[in-house]
Amino acid sequence: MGGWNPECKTTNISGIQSNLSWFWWISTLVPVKSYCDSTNLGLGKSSARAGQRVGAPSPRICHNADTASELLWAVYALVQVLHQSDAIEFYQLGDSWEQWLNYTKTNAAKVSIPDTA
Amino acid sequence: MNTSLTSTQVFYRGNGRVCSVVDLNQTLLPSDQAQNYSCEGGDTALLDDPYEGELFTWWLYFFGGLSNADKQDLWKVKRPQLQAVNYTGSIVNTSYDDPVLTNYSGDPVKGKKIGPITVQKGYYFSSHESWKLLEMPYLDVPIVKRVFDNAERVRTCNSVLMGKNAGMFASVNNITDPTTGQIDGYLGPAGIPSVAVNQEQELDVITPYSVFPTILSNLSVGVAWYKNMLDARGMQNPYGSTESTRRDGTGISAFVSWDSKVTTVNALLGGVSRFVRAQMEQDSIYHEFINVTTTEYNRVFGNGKALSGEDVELCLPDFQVPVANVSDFTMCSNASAVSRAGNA
Repeated sequence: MGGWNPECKTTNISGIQSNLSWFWWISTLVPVKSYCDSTNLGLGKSSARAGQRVGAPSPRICHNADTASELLWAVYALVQVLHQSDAIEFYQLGDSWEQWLNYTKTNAAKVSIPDTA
Repeated sequence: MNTSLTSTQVFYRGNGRVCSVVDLNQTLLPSDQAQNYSCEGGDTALLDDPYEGELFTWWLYFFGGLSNADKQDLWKVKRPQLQAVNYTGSIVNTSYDDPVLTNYSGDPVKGKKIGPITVQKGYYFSSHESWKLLEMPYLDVPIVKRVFDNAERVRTCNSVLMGKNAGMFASVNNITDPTTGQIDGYLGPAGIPSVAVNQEQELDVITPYSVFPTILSNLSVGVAWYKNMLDARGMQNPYGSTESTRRDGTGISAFVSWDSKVTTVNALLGGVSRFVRAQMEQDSIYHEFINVTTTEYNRVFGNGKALSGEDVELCLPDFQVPVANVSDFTMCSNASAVSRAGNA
């Protein structure tokens, strides 16, 4: 059976730990896709729609709460870490992501639409 | 002309119901009057699971601008899905197309008994269902930690009890068809049928990332299972771990994905819940999270209800994936490592 190989780093656990940056660590919980399409089959695994392939004909697009849920709290953690940094560029990056989080708070449950009277 | 604001439902559909997937017209702004949000599958296609989908419930709960009544209704809708079940060590058939109760080798299942062990009933009991533990400080709640420690007793011991099984199960991509190079679909129903809502499962394929909840519970045991799967032919590649392998070693998924790789790395580093906890404390929402979670889990598992199996030891792998017709990736074979060392 295979042993450890320096080019196959998954078994070098201590090496992984020592080489990771905090920011990369946080980013590991941000899914690659926040929208669903016919190729992303891992979405909504535990929902009633588990395993179902979702096609989203243009221009309509589907937003998947299950994937969003994993993204949102990962970014929430990221903002916390960035705001602990003494480096101004990281702190400001935290501010920018916080703006994005604040935006999601305005349109996740409901969105306000102006109407005319 | 006066302009006012009308609140239109997006993911929250009222009465505690949260839509799983919302369709919208992406050529229009979110606040365009012509914008239309519809719940794909109708208002009964809900995100109401007590697994990873719960992370979105919390987002709406804390930040969705919902009324107190709506916030309480979120949990009322979800409550029936949080259930206790006892694992008894009985093994259902391990081949999805085999109607006879046999183990992997084709022998009748023997009445080995471990347990009972009380766990939260899974949808499939796929490892990905514990994703929420990576992100939010659930394990700060004692009853939650006890329940999820039990889950890993079941996850590890079930894999041993199955017989001739080197790994554990989670929703994952199927193996690659060697003649076409295409993946044979996605195996969503992969977990532990006897403690799952959905018992029709496909259990011929194991995946390294199935260990991430085990790692959160017991690093040593989790890593032992991880290594046991990575030791199989083709399960390491230049990008790290490989997606999945058949238990009989006759095929691998020559593929890498976010879900199947990084969940494990993140678990090895303890998840990000400590950062989320710190920010929740700053936002003054941490104690409410703890209180609500404690209440919901105590309804099912606490307040004098028996939680069996906490004395059961986690199980270690006792089998390795057989060497069959799969080759190691060229850059990851022992021979290539020796060759590079010689050229150094």
